[in-house]
Amino acid sequence: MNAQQIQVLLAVDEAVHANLARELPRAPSQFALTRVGRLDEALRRLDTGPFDVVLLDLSLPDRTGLAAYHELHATAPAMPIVVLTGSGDETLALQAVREGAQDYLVKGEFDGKMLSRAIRYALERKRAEEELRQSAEFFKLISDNVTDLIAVIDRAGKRLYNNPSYEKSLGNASNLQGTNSFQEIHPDDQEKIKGLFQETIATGTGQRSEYRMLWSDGTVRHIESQGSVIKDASGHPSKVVVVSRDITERKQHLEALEKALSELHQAHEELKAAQMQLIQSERLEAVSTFAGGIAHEVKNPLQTITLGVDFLKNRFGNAGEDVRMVLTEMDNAARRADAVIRGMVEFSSYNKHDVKDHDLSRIAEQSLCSVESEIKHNGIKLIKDLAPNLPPVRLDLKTVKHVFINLLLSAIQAMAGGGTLTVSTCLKQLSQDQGWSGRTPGQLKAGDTVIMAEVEDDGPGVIESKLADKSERAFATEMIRKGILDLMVLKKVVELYGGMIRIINRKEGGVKVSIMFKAQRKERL
Amino acid sequence: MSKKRILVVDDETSITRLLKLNLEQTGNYEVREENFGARVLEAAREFKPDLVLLDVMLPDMDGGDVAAGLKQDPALRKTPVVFLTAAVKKEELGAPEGKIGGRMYIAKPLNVKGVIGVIEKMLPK
Repeated sequence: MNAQQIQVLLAVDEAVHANLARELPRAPSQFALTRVGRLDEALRRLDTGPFDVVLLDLSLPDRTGLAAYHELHATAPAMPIVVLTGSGDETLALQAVREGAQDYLVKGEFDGKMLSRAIRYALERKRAEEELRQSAEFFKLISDNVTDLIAVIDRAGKRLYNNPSYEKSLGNASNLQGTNSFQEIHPDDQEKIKGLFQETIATGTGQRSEYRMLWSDGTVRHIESQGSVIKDASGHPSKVVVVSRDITERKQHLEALEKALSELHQAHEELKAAQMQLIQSERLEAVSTFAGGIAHEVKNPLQTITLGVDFLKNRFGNAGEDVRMVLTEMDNAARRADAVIRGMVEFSSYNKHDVKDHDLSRIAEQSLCSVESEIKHNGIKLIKDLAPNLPPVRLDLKTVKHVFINLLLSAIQAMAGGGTLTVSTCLKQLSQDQGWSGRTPGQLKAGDTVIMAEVEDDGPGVIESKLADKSERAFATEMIRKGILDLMVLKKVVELYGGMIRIINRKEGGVKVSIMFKAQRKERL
Repeated sequence: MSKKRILVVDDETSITRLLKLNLEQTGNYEVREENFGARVLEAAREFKPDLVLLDVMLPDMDGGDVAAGLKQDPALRKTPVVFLTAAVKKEELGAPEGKIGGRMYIAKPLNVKGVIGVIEKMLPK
């Protein structure tokens, strides 16, 4: 048997065969013919022999009509079949073709050339059909079994195809055909996705996108899609294949992870801050215990001195100007020392220093409340300019409020006959040239960002001195005379928090007291 | 006019001594010092003061308890007691003298003029 030859099984009756025999010798010799006269035999032969094509007479003695075709086709579904009918049975032949036969020939109306062409075409068509079938099956296999959502959309955005994965999201995929593929996209994302789709159609290049979709179960899902363009014969984009997947859970996991991470960071920061506060609180407590202890030891000897001076004043008050002057100086010195001691005792009496983040504007506000009656009583006009949202200052509330109240009292008493008290807070950067002698106590220096509170009065001012230190001392003495705590103690207290107090005479008269604290640097993660 | 008798109680001898010197210098008072809480009652019974200046924080006894002891003695029941105290905060104070729990007090540091003012106010007329 020639391997190049096409093996043809002829299932035809005697008469037909006789006709064929007449025709076929003129046909090219690429055919190897095997004839059987009955269908049973044809079926048997197909079982054993390698045939390429069957020529089937629909009027065999053991089977007639479509039944013969059906039986043969069922036995060998992949076998190309050309049916042969009588001149009156063309309808029958057409029916067989509709049901899968490759072609038909009418008895007595064909010659060898037609026959050989019909056989070759039948083979060719069957092969193409088979390829198509296999590739369709292959695609269907993929499309049916991926979890990804696969959709084919026309230029207008209408759905042409949706794979079965859509069942889960939008219901029966076959019902989706012809519907608008944008209708289930979240209203907030629709414009964006329509725009991307238009761009894809216009440029022919698909894009990746993320958006939300409303599923038929009522849930909102996050979808990630990749579009690809199918071009028509003339190269213009005609369809878009969109492969999508539900990334809701992935997104949720990611969000949960990010949240956990940020919570961890926050907890870490809080822990760090709490530790810092504890260290500062403990340090302050140690300092205040120390200060209190010393103050206590000095108090009684000091009391002895003041009582002694009182005694001498009464006894020798008439002795002469010089004696009186000496006694007055001693008296002043003792009072001054006592004011320092009292300041230290008060500071140390806040035995629980609770260092926390506080808003300086709020402290100023609260302190103003404490001296409200003094302000009213002295007929003083209050101008308040407290900045909102200042960065926090880490300090002990009671102590710093105490400093504030004393400074406010000092300002109020400087204007016993009435005046204007100005209290303001702000965030500013220290510069060398703002009346700032360059001597910067504590940790503050030019260029530092500070949170500052200022208390201004338009009273008589303080005695000017070239030495800032001396002016401050004069101010301090004045405060003591008024029965207010010693400024020097307040200064030291503020310095404990890394801040400072500065006192200057205003150009327009009166005193300006500034309390400033260094702004905390944002700790890096 | 006879001198008023003042019993001054403080654990610091230098303070009681100087208070005594200051008060007696005026010529209006006779002062006895006492530096132990436990001995106050006995001293008072003996001295029969017109007024007691009593430190609140005595090392051996609480000034309040000492005052309560005086109150229980029929002879001393009506003797006014003025506390001397250092443990008063400025916020509570408002003034250098006032009342703690209904009792008169003078805040330390003491000055002679202030002490005499309170004594004169408190002495039975």
